[in-house]
Amino acid sequence: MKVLITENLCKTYGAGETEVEALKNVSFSVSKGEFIAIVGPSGSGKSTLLNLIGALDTPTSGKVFLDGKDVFAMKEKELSVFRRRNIGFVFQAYNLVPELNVEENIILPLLLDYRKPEKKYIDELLNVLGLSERRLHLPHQLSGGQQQRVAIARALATRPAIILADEPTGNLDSQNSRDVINLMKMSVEKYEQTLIMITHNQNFASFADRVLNVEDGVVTELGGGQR
Amino acid sequence: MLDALLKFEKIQVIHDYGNFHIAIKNASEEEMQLIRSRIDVQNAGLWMDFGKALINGRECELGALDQNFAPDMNVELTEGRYPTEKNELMLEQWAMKDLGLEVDDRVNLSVDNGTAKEFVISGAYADLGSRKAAGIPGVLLSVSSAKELINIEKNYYLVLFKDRVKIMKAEAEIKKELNIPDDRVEHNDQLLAVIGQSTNKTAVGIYQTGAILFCMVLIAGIMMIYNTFNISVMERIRQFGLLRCIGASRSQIKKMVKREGLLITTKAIPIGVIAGILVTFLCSAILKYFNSSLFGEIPLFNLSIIGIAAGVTVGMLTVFIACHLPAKKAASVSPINAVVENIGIKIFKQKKRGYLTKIFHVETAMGINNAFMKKKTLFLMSCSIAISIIIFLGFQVFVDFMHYSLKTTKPYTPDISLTSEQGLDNLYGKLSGLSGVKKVYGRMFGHVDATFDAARLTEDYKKNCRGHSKNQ
Repeated sequence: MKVLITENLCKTYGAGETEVEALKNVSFSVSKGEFIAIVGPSGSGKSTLLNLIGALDTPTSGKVFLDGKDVFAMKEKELSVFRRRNIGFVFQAYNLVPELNVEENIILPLLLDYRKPEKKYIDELLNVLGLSERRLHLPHQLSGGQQQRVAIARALATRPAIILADEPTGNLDSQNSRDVINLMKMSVEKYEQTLIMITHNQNFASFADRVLNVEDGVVTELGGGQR
Repeated sequence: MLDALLKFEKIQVIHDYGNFHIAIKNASEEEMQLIRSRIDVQNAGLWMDFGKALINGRECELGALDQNFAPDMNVELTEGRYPTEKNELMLEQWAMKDLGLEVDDRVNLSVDNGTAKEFVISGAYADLGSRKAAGIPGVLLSVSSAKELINIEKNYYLVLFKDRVKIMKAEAEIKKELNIPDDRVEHNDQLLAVIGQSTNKTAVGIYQTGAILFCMVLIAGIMMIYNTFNISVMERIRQFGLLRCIGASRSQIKKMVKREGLLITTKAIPIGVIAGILVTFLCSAILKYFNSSLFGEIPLFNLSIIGIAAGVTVGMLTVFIACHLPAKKAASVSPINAVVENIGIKIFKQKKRGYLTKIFHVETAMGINNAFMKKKTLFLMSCSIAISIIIFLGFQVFVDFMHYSLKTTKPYTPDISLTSEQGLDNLYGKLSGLSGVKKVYGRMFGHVDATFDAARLTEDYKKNCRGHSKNQ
């Protein structure tokens, strides 16, 4: 079953002299439970691609189907709801809400949806990600690696259709990076989540089921990783 | 504070002019009866003015006043009792002393029309500043005896309405019901002005100035709160973007910012109210103790429910208005702002040619850039500064205005006048020698009764005269 399908995605920034074609006719699809790594040099269009998949930005042309729904055909209000139920984000800069503690940060997407969090599942997430002890800490009391683990837990909390991670290890040292990637891979497999991750690190790309290479706005498939 | 000052003004005005709202000239028994029985009338009493008379040969102001209205006209019995019998009268305390009289003494009173009669002093009442200063004592008769003594029908029926009565409306009703023409109704303009029920021009002017100042303060408040809020929202664009990423809808973010404002207000309002009360208390205390002769009667503790309620409402209103736009702005943050920075700032020019860094030192150039490149910040900052200047100037005008209205601007207005009927012979030399005295001058005047042909006055002149005397 295809969770994500992109059709001829194009994105152009600016106009006239300063026009930049960030993405050119990108078409690919992702099945449920797959782990996709996106690699490519800086400025190649990786982040633009991820932003379009997550419906953060609108494409110049082309379509994105997430869980069978045409994302850009939705109205803003519908999209907000769709986003909180079906897409989980993990950012390079962690992006936790500073005034909420670890647990609140994790269940925030559920609270925004006025749903009652399933206590057992949240406890399990905290356990799996090694955050049980830190449940009541505020983000600034945590290390970078811990903060990123909270962000991963937050992305998993709603059991979304797809998790998008934009260089989740970009701000971490190698030891922490490895831990985070391992945890991500493990939790994604455990909860059968679909994950699309941008990375600069070829080693981490090799964890993935498939690797997509972006260069000058053109996406090519590099085939499977090590596995 | 305004409320405290108004209360103080009210006390002053009552002290100077008496505690009545309107007066009906030459009211008949029936009219008095009907007015007194009205539900909105708190007190009413008859006041008769007989003008000048002689008491034991000394000039005095003769009048009569209903006992029930005496306290409202600042007539406070200090000795003896209120005159009730036909041959009784009451005198100011200082005059008793001056004339060497005691309660129960007999005095001779002669009136303009030649009638002279012996009276018994039934009591004395507290000094009235203006009369004492003029050196002419006030003599009060009982209303019943006054009617028999003098047959000049010149009386005023003084009416004090209850609190919160719409006086203009009540007055119109009385006029209509009793068929009283306009020129038989006089107003205590000063009191009406202070309690905000006057149509008098000066009073309305003061209220208008107040309203304009109030609006300016409101606008300044809104601008300031808006600015602060805007900056706090701008700072958190990334966070709002993030919240949108993890699924917050626009209305949720809007609500969030508004709740934030409301919460801050609930904290700020009690602080503001308490601080306001303290400042009012402090100002009153300063006025009271440093200038006790002028402001001695200002109330020290003055908790005005209306004032506090107004403060709270204004606070809520400003925050409500001031939060609206930033909340909208926060809601319109695109989720992409969580990943991409600096999208929210509008910049004047599409391209930068870098002239500034060539002309100025780099710190000047960057200062200019920062001030002018961010449109919104530039606009808001200039507005705030402009408004504070406007308020400053506005208050200055207001203060000047108060200053001028309190003090005449004529250069010959004396600071101190010494009055004597005997003449001040060698005082001139002594005073001129004092250090700090700029000018000393003397003047004399006397009263002469004169007659003229009233028929020769033009209509315009009469009209002006009447208007003038009314405003006095």
